[in-house]
Amino acid sequence: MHAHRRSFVLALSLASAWPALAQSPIALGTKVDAIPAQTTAAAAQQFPTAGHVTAVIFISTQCPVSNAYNERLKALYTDYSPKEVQFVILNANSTETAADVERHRAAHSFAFPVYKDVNNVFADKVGAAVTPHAFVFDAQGALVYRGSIDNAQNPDRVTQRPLRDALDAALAGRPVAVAEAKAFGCSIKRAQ
Amino acid sequence: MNPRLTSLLPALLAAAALAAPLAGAELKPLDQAGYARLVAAAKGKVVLVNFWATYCAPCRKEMPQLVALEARWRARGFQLLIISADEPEQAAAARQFLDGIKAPASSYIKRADDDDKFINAIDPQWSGALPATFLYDRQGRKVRSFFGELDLQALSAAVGKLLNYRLPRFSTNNPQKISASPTHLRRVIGSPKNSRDHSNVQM
Repeated sequence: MHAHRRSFVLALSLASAWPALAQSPIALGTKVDAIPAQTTAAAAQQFPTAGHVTAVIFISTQCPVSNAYNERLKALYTDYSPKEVQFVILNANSTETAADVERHRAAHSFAFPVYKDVNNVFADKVGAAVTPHAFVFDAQGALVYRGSIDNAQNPDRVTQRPLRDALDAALAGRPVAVAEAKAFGCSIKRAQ
Repeated sequence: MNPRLTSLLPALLAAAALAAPLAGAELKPLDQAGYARLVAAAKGKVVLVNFWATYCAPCRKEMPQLVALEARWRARGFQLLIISADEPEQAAAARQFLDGIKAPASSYIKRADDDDKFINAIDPQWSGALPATFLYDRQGRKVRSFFGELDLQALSAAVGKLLNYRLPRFSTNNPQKISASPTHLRRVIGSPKNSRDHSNVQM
């Protein structure tokens, strides 16, 4: 009974800690079968996670912090897509339309598509709160990393690259040493 | 040197280190340990810590209202501490913005070696998203965390409670007098947030 009450209180406190989220985010280790995404053509897609390492990165067209990572995002894609990492780049901001996202992608010559996370459904599920915010799923679909791309908005000051470290570990089938790494950033503008 | 003065020297140096920078001066850098000392040094006051950045539009939008809140309640023992999460390159722009809105002198800029540890030390539930605001009681205990754009009415009520400030109560003799009416709160803290703004504010 007491254990149940503690669980209930914990659930309440977690829910209150994520005030804009419709649900508490999943814990590290939780398996996700597929990542939902929507293109500019409004066609809903699902990206299955099984069988390959997946990197999901939430970005923004307007956030200066997110835009500071555009070149690093391109480098990540260049370095890791040949290693069979599946990239799903998402925009969950309700204030940025699919057309905005496509214009931004074209303006920055991203070689990868950027999808809308409509109504921030997946952002709520995994606990994406800022842009950029990165998530890594291993080949079994388990969430193994949640956090920043690296530890400095200015690329000249970067000393830690937790996202790359997590991808390397997941590709090698090793545990991820640093599974969460927070950073300052613009909040995701959630749908009301 | 006067022995009495010598004995006071460590305390004086500590106070000087925590002294709020003057308006127009560079923002004082603040790490995790400095944050803890800052909050501890403000014991006896109700303290609101606001984290913001020049790149954060909701932060810039709500800041003047926080400044107004402090101006109105400073004499009751309320203090606003403003901490910029900007990178060093934006420090001058942050100072300029604060000067432009006549922000109080208690303005700092985070300089942590490890943002993850810094964020978790302040509140493990905080994602690092801005704005973020933390309310401390007179004993220096964190009593409330606000993530995202502030609901100024909720904030005002929470601060008022800690300051033991009684908002006008509903009067059965005069139904026009409504406790904590939006009109009253507007007088106290300025215009409250329009909830629709949350989704419309651009970065």
